[in-house]
Amino acid sequence: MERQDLLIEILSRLSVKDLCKFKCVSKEWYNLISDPIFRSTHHERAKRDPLMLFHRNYRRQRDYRKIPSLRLTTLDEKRRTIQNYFTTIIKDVKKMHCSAVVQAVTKVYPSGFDLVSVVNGTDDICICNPSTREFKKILPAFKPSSHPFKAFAFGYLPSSNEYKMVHFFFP
Amino acid sequence: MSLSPSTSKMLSLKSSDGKVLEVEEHVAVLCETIKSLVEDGCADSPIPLANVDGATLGNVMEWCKKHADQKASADDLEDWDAEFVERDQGELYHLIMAANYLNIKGLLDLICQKVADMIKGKHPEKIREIFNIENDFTPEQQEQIRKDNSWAFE
Repeated sequence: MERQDLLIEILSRLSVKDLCKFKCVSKEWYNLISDPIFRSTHHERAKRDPLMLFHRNYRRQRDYRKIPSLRLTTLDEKRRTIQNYFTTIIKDVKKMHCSAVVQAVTKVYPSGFDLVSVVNGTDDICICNPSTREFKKILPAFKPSSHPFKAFAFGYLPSSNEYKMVHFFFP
Repeated sequence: MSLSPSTSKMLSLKSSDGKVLEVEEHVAVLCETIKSLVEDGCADSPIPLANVDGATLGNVMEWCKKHADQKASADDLEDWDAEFVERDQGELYHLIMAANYLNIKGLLDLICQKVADMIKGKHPEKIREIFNIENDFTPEQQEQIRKDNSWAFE
């Protein structure tokens, strides 16, 4: 192994928080940590021991109906819950340039891999990596108001290493 | 080829600073690099290890001896390993380079994890100090990266 591979061996054992901090150590570290190959090495190691979990949660309404909702929870190294991470994401999305996304009802679609998409009531879409708190707003496929019946799906395609967002509607 | 302790012969290993170490073959072959030499019949005595100094070679072989011991339980090894990595930074650096050169995955994993544990939660400035890295960002670039990742500094 080369020197840089040894550095990857060490850094891939760190938390995403530390890595985001260590990006400002030097240009070499910045490039290494931002590199997609490093990210996938880190992902492979980190997924054996996940510290961030999506789980379905049921809220009971006044009329005793149960409404399913999705929660994102972060854990510490001893598997204790730190916080319900979902509110943190929403706060971050607001802080970034995606503020329109969090007005009205917001839904979260996990992809089954790193990224999550956040969609609001007026179909503004924001793609987010909850671990690194990186956000990107994307344009919806069509004008939302004219199509009242619509749905979203978001997923990761390992064969092509791509994320796909499907936005469909019934005219 | 059988490498059980009872049939194990001795190999001599020669470090970069000329020290010769006699090691049982079943211990030395935990190093993949030495194992290939033995299997190919190229393990001429003494085997020159140009990238490992004598003190480090001694430490590496101590680890290999413990891990070649089939009576050691997993818990026992874990405790022993935890004590083994209690070393200063210089020694850890030499061990990581040696484990890499001699291709000993278990030892490399152990030291890499130790270094990761040492640096986690530290400030970038401290990291530069530990690894002797020069900050090659301009203050503006540095500020921008901090801003983009401000949550990590909270």
